[in-house]
Amino acid sequence: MPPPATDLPGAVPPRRAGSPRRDPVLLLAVAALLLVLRVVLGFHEAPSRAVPPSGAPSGAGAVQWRTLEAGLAEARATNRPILYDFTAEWCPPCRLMQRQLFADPRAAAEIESRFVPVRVLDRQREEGRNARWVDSLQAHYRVNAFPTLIVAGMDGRESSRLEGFMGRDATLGQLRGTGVSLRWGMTGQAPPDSR
Amino acid sequence: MDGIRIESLTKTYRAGQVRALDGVSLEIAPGEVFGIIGPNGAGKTTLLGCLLGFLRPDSGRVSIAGREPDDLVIRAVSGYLPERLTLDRWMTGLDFLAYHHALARLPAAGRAAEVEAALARVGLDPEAGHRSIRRYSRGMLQRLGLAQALLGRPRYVFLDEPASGVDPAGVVLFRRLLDEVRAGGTTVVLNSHQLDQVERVCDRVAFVKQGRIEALETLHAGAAMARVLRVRGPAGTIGEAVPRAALEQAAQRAGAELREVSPPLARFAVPDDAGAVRLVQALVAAGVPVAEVTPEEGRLERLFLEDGPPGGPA
Amino acid sequence: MNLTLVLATLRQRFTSPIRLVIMLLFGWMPMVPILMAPRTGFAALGDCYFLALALAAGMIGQDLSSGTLQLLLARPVTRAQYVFSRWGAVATGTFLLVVLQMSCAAFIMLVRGVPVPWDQAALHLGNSALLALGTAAVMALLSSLAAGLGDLGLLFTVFLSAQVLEKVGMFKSWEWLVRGAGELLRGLKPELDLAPFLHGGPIAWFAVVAYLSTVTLCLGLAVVVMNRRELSYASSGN
Repeated sequence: MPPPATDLPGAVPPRRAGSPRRDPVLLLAVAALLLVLRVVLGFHEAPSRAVPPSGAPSGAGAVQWRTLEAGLAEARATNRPILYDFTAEWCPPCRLMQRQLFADPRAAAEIESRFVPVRVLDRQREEGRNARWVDSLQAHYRVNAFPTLIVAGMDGRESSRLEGFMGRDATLGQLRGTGVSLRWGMTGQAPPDSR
Repeated sequence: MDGIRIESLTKTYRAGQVRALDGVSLEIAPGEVFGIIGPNGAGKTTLLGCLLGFLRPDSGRVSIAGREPDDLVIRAVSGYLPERLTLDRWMTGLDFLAYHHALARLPAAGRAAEVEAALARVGLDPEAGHRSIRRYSRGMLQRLGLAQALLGRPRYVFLDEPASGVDPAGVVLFRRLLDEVRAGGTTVVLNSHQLDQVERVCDRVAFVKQGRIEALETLHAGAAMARVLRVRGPAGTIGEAVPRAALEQAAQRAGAELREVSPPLARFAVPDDAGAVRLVQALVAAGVPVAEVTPEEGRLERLFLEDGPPGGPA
Repeated sequence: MNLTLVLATLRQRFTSPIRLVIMLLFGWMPMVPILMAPRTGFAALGDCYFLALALAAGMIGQDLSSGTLQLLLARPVTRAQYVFSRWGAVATGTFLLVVLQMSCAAFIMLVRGVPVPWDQAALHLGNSALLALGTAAVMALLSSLAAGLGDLGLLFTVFLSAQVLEKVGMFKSWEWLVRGAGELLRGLKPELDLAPFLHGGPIAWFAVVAYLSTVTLCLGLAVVVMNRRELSYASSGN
C-alpha cells in the first residue's frame, strides 16, 4: 500500500496548501483604495490650480509667476529671457496648459531654469477692463488669442511666439530651442510702457 | 482516497461549439499505471489538462487524494512531462534539473548529487548535463523531460507521449523506469499513441473517443480479451491438405470460431488467452501442422477499428 | 516572491544576446555626454525607462507562447508568486544596470578630476529604483495579456491612443478627456521624484498616490489575469 500522498520523504511541504490561483485580495483592496484617493486628490487639485496670477502662490512644484517689475529685475540680474504667458481665467486651453505644463514639477523646473516667467492675466471679461500694463503688453506683442506664450529679451523684442496649447512635450520642446538662442542676444532694455 | 477521481467531467471550447469532454467519469487507484489512448481530437489532451488543473472543466470534478488537482500539496508530490516539450533552452541540462529540483521544494542539501543521479537515471551522460539544452537532440530533450518529471520520487506522475522521438534503447529504458516508479507505489497516468508500450506498462487503459470513454480495458495477464489469431501452417497444409471442415471442428472443440481460410493461413476468433491455448491444443490434436500463431492486431489496436472489436464465440 | 524564479529570470535576461545588445545601446549611449562634459553630472544619464523595457519585454508573454509556463506551474508555485518574481527580477535587473551605469559615470568624473555629486547620485538611484519598479509592474500587466513580445505592441498602442485622445481633448477643450489621457500616459511610465523627500521641499501627494496606485493596480490585475488563464495547448480547441 503506497504511503499517503502528502508524505513524500525529503520534500519540504509548501507553506500553505490550497489553490495556486488565489487572487491577492489585500493588494487589490489597497489598489482600489489608492485609485479612489487618486481620483479625489485629482479633483481637489484641479480647482486650486486654475490659473494663479502673477505673484500669487502657484502650488508645490509649479511655475512661480513673477510680477512684471520683479520679473524684469530678475531677468536683468540673471541674464535670462522673459517668458510672458498671456492668459485668461475663462480660457479652457489656458487652464489645461496651467495643469499640464506649468503645474508639472519637471516642466516647471525646466521653465524656471531657462526663463523668468511672468503671467499677463486678462481680466476684461470678469472686470470690464485690464490694468494698463496688461493692455500695454498685449498691444506691444499684438496678442489676439489665449493662451499665447511670448519669449522676449530685456529689449522687449519678441524672439518666439507660441499660440494655443499643443501639449506639454511639444511646448517644452519649442521653448527649449528658444531659450538657448535668445540668451546670446540679450541687450538689457525693458519693454516699452510697462507700468 | 489517495487515488484520482474524475466525476462527470465536461469541457467545451468556442462557447460550447466543441465538446472536448462529455461526462467522463473514472477512478484511478493509488499506485496504478493508467493509460489513456484514443484517436486524434478525442479529448485526451483536454483530459490530461483537467487532471493537472491547467484547464477548468465546465462541469464535473477532478480530485487527487481528495484535493483539487492543482492544490499546492499535490503539486509538491507530482511530476509532469508535457507532449510539446519546450524547455528553458538557455540552461544546461544540470541547471534545468536543479531549477526544477528547487521549484519542487526539494531540499537544497544534496541537490547537486540528486540532479546528477537523475541525469544518469535517464541515460544522459555527465557531459550532456553541462551542455546547453539548445544543443540537445529530440531524444535527449525527452529524456531530460522525464528526468525532471521523476525528480524527488513523486507520488503522481503525468506523462504525455513520454517516448516520442526516443530511440529503441531509450524506449526500453523508459519502460524500466516506469516499472521502478510503479514499484515505488507512484500513480502514473500515461497518454500515448504507442500502443505496444501502453500494453506493456499499463494496468488499465481508457479508450477515449469524441470526449467519452468508449472502453476501459484491464491489461493484466489472464484478463478476458477477445482477439483474432492468424494460424499459419507450412505450404500446402492449411486450406489444402487440411480442409476447412477439419479446422472448423478443431475450433468448435476449443470454443473458438473459424473466420476465414486463405492458404496457408486461417483466422480464428478466441475469447481470451485460455481460449487461444485451447485452440492451439485442439489444432495440434487434430493433426494440423501449426508453424506460427500471431494475433491479427494488438489488443488495443482493435479499439481503433471502426467496426469495433472482433466478436467472441457465442 | 520565489527566489529560484527571480534568479532564473535574471540569468535568462542577462544571457540573451539580443537583450544584451539592446541594454548596451541604452546603457552606454548616455555615457557620451558625460565623456564630453563630465560636469553635467548624473542628470545626463537620463532615466532607465528603456533599460527596464529591454529587460521586461515578454516577461510573461514569452513563457506563455513558448509553453515553458506549463512545466513551471506544474510545480508548487502560485501564479501570484510567478508574477511577483518576474516583476522583482526585472526591477532588480534594471536597478543593477543603473548602478553599473552610474559607477562608470563616476569613474569618468573621477578620472577627469570632476567631483562626484553624491547627493545627486543618491537621488538618481532612488528615482531609478522607483521607475524600474513602476515600469516592471506596467509590463507585467501588459505581458500577462499578450503572448510573446505583444506587450511592447500593447504599450505602443495604448501610448498612441492616449496621445490621440489628449489631442482631441485639447482641440475640443474637453478638460476631462485631456486629464484622463494625461493620466493614462503618466500611468504607462510610473515615476516619482524623490527630490522633495530628500531635499525637504513640498511633497506632491497626488504624484505619490498616483505612482502607488499605478503599481498596485498593475500588479494586482496581472495576477488576476494569470489566475484565469488556461494553460493547456488544448485550450485552443485542438
